[in-house]
Amino acid sequence: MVVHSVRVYWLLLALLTLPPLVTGCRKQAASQSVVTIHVADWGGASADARSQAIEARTMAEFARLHPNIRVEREHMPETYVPKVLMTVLAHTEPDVIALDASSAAIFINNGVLRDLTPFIESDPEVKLSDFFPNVINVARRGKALYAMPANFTPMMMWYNKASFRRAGVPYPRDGWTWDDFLDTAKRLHLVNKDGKTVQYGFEVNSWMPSWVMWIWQNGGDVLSPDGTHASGYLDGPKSVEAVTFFTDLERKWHVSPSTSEAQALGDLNFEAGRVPMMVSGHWVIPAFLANENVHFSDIGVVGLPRKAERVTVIYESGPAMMKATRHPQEAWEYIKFMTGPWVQRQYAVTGIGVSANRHVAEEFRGSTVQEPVFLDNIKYARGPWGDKVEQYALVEDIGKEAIEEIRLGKATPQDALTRAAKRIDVQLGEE
Amino acid sequence: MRSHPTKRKIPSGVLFILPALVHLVLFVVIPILFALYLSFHKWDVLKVDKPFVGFGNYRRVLVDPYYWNAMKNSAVYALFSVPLGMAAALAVAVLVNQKLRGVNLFRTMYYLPAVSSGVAISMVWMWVYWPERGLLSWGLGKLGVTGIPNWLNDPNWAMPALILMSIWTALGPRMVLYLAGLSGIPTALYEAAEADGASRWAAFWHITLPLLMPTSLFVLVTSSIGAFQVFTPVYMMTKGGPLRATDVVGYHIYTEAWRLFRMGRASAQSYILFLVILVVTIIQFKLANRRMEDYSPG
Repeated sequence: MVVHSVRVYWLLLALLTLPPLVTGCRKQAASQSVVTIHVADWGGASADARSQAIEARTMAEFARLHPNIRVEREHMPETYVPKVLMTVLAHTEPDVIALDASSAAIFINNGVLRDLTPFIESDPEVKLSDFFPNVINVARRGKALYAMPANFTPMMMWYNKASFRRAGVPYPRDGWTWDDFLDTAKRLHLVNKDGKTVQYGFEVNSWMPSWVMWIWQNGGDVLSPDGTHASGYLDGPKSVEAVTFFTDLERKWHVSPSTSEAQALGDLNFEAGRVPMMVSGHWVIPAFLANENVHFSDIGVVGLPRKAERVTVIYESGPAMMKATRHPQEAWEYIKFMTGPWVQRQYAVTGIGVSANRHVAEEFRGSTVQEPVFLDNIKYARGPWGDKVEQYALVEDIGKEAIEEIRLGKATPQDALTRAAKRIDVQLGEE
Repeated sequence: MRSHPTKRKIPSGVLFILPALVHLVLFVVIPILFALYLSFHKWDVLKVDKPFVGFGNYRRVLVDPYYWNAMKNSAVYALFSVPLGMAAALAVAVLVNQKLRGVNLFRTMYYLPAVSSGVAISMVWMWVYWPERGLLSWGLGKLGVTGIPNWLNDPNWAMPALILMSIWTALGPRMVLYLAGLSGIPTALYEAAEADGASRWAAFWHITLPLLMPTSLFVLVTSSIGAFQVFTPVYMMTKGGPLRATDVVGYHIYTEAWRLFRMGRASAQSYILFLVILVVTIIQFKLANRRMEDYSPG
């Protein structure tokens, strides 16, 4: 479910962030010298009418402000990163690409992006202090900045209030702990007379972006601080303890459905109240709003429970400039426009993400009852490893396998993580 | 076509095959040679430095347990999907070889998967294998079967599920080949057998099957090669999981190249796969030739 949501989220996000050019500016092309810039994103043709309307509006505004810049969009849905890499190899790269925090490292570390600092410093309209610092830092290397953040989300704990009421459990409170969380999950778990579960407490997901924060909360980490190896980290005592804790929700306490049970339940477990708590991002809000069966006021959100530390992860995206662009100034105008307050307001309305612009984000504090909770949790968020380590996709694959092994009872957390860490070391060491 | 004296030297046949030839060279021959070049280099897409590493990639792949796990999965897939698929195709071919009304309809129906997109077929079978509510689990449930596995999410059942699906998917082309083979068997042989009092089963066993040997060899070789190259259903349905149970070589190479961007290593894996397929094919030819000599009319 989370995987799916992320997909949809980034898709929508891309569509909103990098909209197509409305053909209007062509008419003016004759009188001025028009520069065409190519913009790549992972969007597709599946945008809903509302998103399309916002795109059209956004691009019409850009065309009005910059009649001499023509924007050509290049959609690359599915396998976005390889496709962009191939354009680099073929020297046909776009001028601007959408950069996802989870796969930023491969672009940043290989020097195919342009440092935006000179543009920012010479542009009086842009102040980095307008943006959330930890969100900016996702694409930062020392003083260099390789992408402007458009929007983002911290991962949060969503809860279905109706399910809590049904079980007579008080809603989670800000600053709650792992113990509180486990206790809540257990009390939410309801069985019928035949001993069959009618309501679980939480849904464990093997997908690594949804669980890496548990390790951080326990004071552990996946990789060494320099990002070169996993042994002693992913299989360290704190990581093992964290993984044991959240896989025990399924294995020991049975308050989370197994993979097959979750699938058998079908989609929308959370909305239907069968799984009252889930970890996910801001992107689920549009789906909640669109679902007639969901009482939006019954959807609660709270920061992740804490252990040694209070921490969560941010997933972010924003436009970046390719080093090879022949139109850096025009590309910068586009990047500035898309990450500027006017555009940010356009899509903040949809609820798809939190604007990376602090002022815009604050303007929307009152937009939903959930929004203040999000804004207040941003300070606990850190970027994913994928913005630093090129081979992080592989780390995530191996991590997912380890959790699957544990969930299927094929290995203890310690054994599974030790094997995973060794394998990650070998792979990262070869780079 | 009017030909000038100077152009007569080029055989017109060459002109006819030229488009295909250009395509073949551009999209097959050159990539194959380039992959060979890649396999001797540490060729990470964005790295400026792409050094020659000799057999380094091959050495790494040869000791990589995950690559050999994938090779094992491919072998299991081939070992089951090919013979089962061939048997099913032969059975269907014999059935639709009858001179019955409407038999063409059945031929078309059996051939349909061959003209469908692999992605669409995979989507349909994901529904078939959907736990509890899928056609298969639902049907078995109606029959009173309990403890139905979660096909694609069970490490023990994901591979059998893919194999079962492959039998159906590849039925059409194999059936057509067998139909062609069947039409080449002289009816006089069956008449003679009938006159000698042979049962239909005996006739199938002693006439049909032996005389289909060349067809079977062709189907066996092409199917085995295809089985080692399977990719689409794995990519669509399991992503090599759960727990690498369906991580076949074709998919493994794909992830090496397009998820990890290690083109040199992926190319070495491809060449090792090529060698494995080559050896398997040679063995098949050797065994089949020996058998065919037994049945050769001379």
